[in-house]
Amino acid sequence: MRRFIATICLLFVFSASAFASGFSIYEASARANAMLGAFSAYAEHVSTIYYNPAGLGGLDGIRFSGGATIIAPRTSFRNLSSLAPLGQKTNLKDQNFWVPNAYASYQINDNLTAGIGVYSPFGLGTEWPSDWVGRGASIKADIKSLFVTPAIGYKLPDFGIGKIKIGAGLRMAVYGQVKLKRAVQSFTPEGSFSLNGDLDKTAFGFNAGILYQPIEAVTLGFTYRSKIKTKYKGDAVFTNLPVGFPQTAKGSAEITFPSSYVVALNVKPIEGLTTELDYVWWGWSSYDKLAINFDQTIPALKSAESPEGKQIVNERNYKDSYQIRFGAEYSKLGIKGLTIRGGIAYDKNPIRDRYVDPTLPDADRWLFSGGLSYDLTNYLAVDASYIFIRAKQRKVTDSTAGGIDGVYNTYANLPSFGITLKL
Amino acid sequence: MKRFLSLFVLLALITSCKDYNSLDIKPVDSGSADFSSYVAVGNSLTAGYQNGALYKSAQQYSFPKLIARQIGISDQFSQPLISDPGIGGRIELTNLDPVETTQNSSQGNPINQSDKPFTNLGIPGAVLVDYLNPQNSGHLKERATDPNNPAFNPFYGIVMEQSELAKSAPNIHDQVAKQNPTFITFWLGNNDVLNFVTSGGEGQQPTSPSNFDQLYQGSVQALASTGASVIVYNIPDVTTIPFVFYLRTELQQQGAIVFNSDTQSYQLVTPQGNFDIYIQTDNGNRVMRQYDFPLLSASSYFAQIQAGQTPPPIDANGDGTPESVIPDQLVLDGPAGGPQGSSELEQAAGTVAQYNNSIQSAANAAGFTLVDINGIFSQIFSDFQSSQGQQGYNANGLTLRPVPGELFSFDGIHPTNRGEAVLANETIKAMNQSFSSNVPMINISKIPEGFPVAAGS
Repeated sequence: MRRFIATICLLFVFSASAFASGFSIYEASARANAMLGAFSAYAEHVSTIYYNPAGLGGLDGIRFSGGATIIAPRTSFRNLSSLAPLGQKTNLKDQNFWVPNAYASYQINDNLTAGIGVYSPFGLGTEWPSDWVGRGASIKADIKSLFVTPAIGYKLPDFGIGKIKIGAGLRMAVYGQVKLKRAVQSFTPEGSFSLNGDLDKTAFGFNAGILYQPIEAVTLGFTYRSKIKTKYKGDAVFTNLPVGFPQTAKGSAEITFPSSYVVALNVKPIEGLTTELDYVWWGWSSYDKLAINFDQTIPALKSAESPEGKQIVNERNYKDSYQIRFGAEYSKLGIKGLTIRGGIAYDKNPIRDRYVDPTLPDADRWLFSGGLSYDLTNYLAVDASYIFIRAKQRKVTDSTAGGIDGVYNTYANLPSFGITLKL
Repeated sequence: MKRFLSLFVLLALITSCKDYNSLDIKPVDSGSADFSSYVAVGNSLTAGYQNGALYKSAQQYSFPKLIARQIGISDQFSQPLISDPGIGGRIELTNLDPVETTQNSSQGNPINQSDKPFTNLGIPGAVLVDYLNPQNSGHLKERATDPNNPAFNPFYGIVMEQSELAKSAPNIHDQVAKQNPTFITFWLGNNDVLNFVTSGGEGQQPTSPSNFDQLYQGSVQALASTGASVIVYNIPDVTTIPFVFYLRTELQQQGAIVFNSDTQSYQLVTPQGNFDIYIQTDNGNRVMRQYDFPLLSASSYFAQIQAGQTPPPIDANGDGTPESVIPDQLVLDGPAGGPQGSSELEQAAGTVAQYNNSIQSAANAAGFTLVDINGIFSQIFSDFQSSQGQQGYNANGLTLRPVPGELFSFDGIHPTNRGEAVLANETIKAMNQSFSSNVPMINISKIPEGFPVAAGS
């Protein structure tokens, strides 16, 4: 009985998006989406607050941009475990997520511009049928985050070596929510565990960037985003588990969102054409484990590793990862006010094979995008874009505790819309 | 530029249209065997009986079902499912720390009787003679169909077809043969001695080894006539099951009894001091010694002693005559002065050894593969004993000790879900070695424990 329930492995607290490296969301404005986020040396749109705050430097007038990205992931799972027929297929429940974004900037003087951005850089969710073969690993995982970033950008005086802009922002996680549910199969009849947690208090980080334009047609960009440690508190509910569990408990968990940096090259080879190539690095190795702490001893959780029975620890052991993003924009189509864009990107996932679980069926992926902007007036433009994501087939064998062996296939459609105002 | 864009659209279309969902699951490499039609023959161990009952939640993890999943024919492998809490009186948890259990008096019902004939022909209570039942010599007909028969067993009617039971001499083999199996697992014989053991030597006498030998040879011939690849299992030694050894160890750990090495006897710990424990045997009352095992069925007897509801089995007034003794049916007595080989333990162990000789030679003669489950369990048990109860079966980062709640379910005889996975893996090992097949092993740590829990506890 010593190992009664060696691990109840909730794993996943912060998992969830099926759309970008780990659970990050890089889709922060419709215009940037159209270029697949190759935007950190672009600097001519107010969403630069997210992509590179240095872009604020010299951004004139009053600017506003707002919109939303719809993320519609579709994932299938084919069983390779001993718990169900080989190859049995289960589809992730269809869910569509709205991810909002809004940015505003105000030019204080010729060289100095301040701005503020609201966006959701981490999150999303997965939900599987409650009777599926992997229910012991996950039934539902859902995370929402909302960041507010006041930022400032400054255009340095001309030193005769080209234009240099610098900028920085305060990244504040002001809202966060975690919802998790999984079956507990250690007992017959099966029970379930669910956790609903909210961000305990605002968490802080920063971003900082630089833009260097040695010649008119070339801009180099660099952005750094610090890691942000967030803490969640909420209610754990143990359903249909009359032995070994309380009915409810208070639970908390800490999640560190990873740091990242971007190296960007923007080139305007001919009039009207802008191309950009970005390399994005993610410090996911900081996400080595996930611990959920309870306010009381839970007899079923007692084990050699956790004699107190107050904690569940799940090893994640993410690796650092990267993305390569390429985007292009063309505005000389002969239709006044119309700009078209396109992009392609490769996204290397941070999860080792054994650690992939149904809360986040991540995989290396290719992304393709297209989009356009149309200037309705001198002040107002509408932006639209479409991203299609195809993830490589992900085969998981010898999965870690709490995972399930099988093969995941994922694709996603991400339409997005926005408006851009320039006053 | 337009060409550039259309390239993206094209790329997107190509990748989205490619059917990634036609995953080719490679068929399992079956080597020299053919796993396409699998029939399992056996008793409660094959049926997936657990915690004193046969119920669907445990049947999902019966070792034949697990094997069927590993060889990729899970959908065709049918079992006589019974709704929870099953038939038999399921032992369920009422508390986890410390572990407390109760027996559920509710019964489940058969679910899928229309799926007969079943490919899992594990029948709880089945004995070796049932396989061929020549001229109904094993009285299978009466035990299966006459509810007034003292030996009536409802599982025959649940597992076997009525058309078979309607015959004058029904048998299991006909149910096997009509399904044209290419692969058979055969594990009968445990109940031929188990009833003797679990009744402390007071119930049915074991099937005589010579009769067993004859029946086994006949069964093997019948199995060979199907042309299937056959795996057979031998019988675990009785002392390796928790039903026999566990209670004594538990009582010692609790400090309720001690072994006095001076007197070479087990003693009851009382406020007045330690007193020799007396047991009833066929050769009269005597002191409980090293090879005497109070059975798991004596748990409530000892609980009553501790509660003062039953007089302790000791000689409290020191007149040489105990005031009370542990009843014979609650103890498997071992060698202690009586005629060599006459103790219950020796009778049982000797019988098992002879059974296993018969199984080995018959299997060898027929070219069947033998899973030495006796050897495997004996090794687990000896590792457990020599490590003061720390070691057990090691696999996939788990240590499953041969105790209730780990390798064995709460009835002390039948495996847990994970114990079933151990049986399946040991079978798969033997298959792969014998057939040069490449059936994947089960990750035992992924099999849910599924301990039954009493409602409303």
